[in-house]
Amino acid sequence: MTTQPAEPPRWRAWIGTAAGVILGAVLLFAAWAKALDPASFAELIESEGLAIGLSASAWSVVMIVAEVALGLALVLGLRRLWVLLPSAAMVGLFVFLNGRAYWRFAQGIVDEEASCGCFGNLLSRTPAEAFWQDLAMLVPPLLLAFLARPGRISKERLRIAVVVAVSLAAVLFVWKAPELPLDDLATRLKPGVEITDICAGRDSEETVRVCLDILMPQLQVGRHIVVIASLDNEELRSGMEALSEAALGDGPTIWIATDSLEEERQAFFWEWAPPFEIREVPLAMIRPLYRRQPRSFRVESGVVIETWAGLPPGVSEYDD
Amino acid sequence: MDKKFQKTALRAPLLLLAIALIAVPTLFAQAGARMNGFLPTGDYLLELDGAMVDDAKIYRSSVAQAVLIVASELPAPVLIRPRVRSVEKVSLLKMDEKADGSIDLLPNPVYAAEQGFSVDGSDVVFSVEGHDARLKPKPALAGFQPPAAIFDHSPEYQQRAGFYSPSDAVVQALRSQPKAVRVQIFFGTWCPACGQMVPRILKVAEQTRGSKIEFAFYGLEREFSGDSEAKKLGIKSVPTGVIWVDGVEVGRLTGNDWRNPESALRDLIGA
Repeated sequence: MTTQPAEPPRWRAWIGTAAGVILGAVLLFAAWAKALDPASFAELIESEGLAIGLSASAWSVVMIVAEVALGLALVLGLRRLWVLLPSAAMVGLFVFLNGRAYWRFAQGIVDEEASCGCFGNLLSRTPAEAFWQDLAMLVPPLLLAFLARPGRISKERLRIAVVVAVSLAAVLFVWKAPELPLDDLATRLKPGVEITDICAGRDSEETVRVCLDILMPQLQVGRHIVVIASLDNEELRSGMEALSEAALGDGPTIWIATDSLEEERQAFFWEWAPPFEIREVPLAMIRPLYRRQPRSFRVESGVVIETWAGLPPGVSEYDD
Repeated sequence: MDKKFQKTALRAPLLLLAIALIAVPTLFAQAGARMNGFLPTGDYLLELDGAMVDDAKIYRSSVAQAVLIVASELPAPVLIRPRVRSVEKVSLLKMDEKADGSIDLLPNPVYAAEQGFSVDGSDVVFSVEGHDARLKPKPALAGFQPPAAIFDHSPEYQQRAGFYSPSDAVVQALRSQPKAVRVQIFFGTWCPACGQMVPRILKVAEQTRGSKIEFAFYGLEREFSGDSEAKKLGIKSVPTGVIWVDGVEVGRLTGNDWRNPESALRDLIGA
């Protein structure tokens, strides 16, 4: 004679399901934010020393797709151990990385910009915020998702098939994302943004918050085109003739915003003598503004009007 | 003979046409290049035959895409055009110095060409009539400096100060406030934000001269963690302004306070 295992109380099942959905949703949002700019996530993997065995780019695809698969499985109620255990490993990794960044920041080893880019460029968080937020957002739902795991899940195979199909689509998306026109979505630079809102750092005893208008106050008045580029960027160098010609015209004032060092800026000047200004902007401020350099934007009276991937097209069309 | 004459007669116009095709664009290039808008720059020092030239003035023009060097020890002002790698001597009579300190060059200012230049690390090396010349990056201004010394070191500060208009009402409030205020500005001539923002407070200092507010400007090297004054006051970044009222520190100008330093200052001292 066999006895049926006692059904867990209904409220426990509800809590378990809800926790799984919440954790899954957080993982899906994080995957989306990173998939918009996989190159930036690959840079992070490289800097964190996680590119073991595979290239950082390959790891970025693996991680994003794993996040999509696990997040979607949890949202679809697949609270199986083969979903929950890898999810726990992933949450553990995120909390560890953020904890390590927080500790390094507290010890003065890294600055506050070194927080985990788990949400790509969409969220700006200090190491402390990243650690405590991840701890609060990920760990409780993860633990609660283990509660009252279901014995039988209706249409389980169909749900698994959906997870597999979406994960394959995610591979394709991550692969093609850099070529898709998603810059405005993936970065903090988009039409309507004011340059007083493009900032880096935070006001604290150790650091200060500085915005782009402090470094380029001239953008507050008149019409300008700003090109974000390193001075060794090939596309910039091959477009220098056209850019110089446009700068000498009557159109908007042209600028290059770069994190290149002073020595590089001087060498660039003695090679090109550009008829426009090259302004140093710290990487912490401009890195969230692009997926790939060069990226350009048009500013009128301190407000971003238009953005372009690459150099500005037909600069002369803005001539008076 | 006739045939020879005919050949020559045919060749001559072709030759003239060829010369014209080469010469005309060259003339137009010289005449067409706008050689104006040379503004003084504080980026470089001039060294001639290994010795520093104290009175050298170095100008840069975005429009002309060129650098102009004027110094008593040079046989003539020197024009460097990086795009064509040229170093040329300019006639003094072709220089038109404006009231604002900028220089325009009149048409056809060049009277002799020198050899080109080369870039040696951070230095630009060239020669003028056999003398070895070198443009070297100017060292940062360090220690307490009066505004005149800052303007002399970095003429761009003076140009930008001229463009800034502090709020009249706020300046008036600062001028009439009765407390003894000291404002010490830490800055670096190498720092891009300082280059934009310190001219603003220099303008405020100028407009509040004679009031109870005393300004002091302290230049820092790029690596300033060992600077005793910065250490004493715990300066972490530049520009930073430390403000004391009756000898007690009441706050600091940092980060986005620099948008309107006069307003931030008024708020901190309660004027």
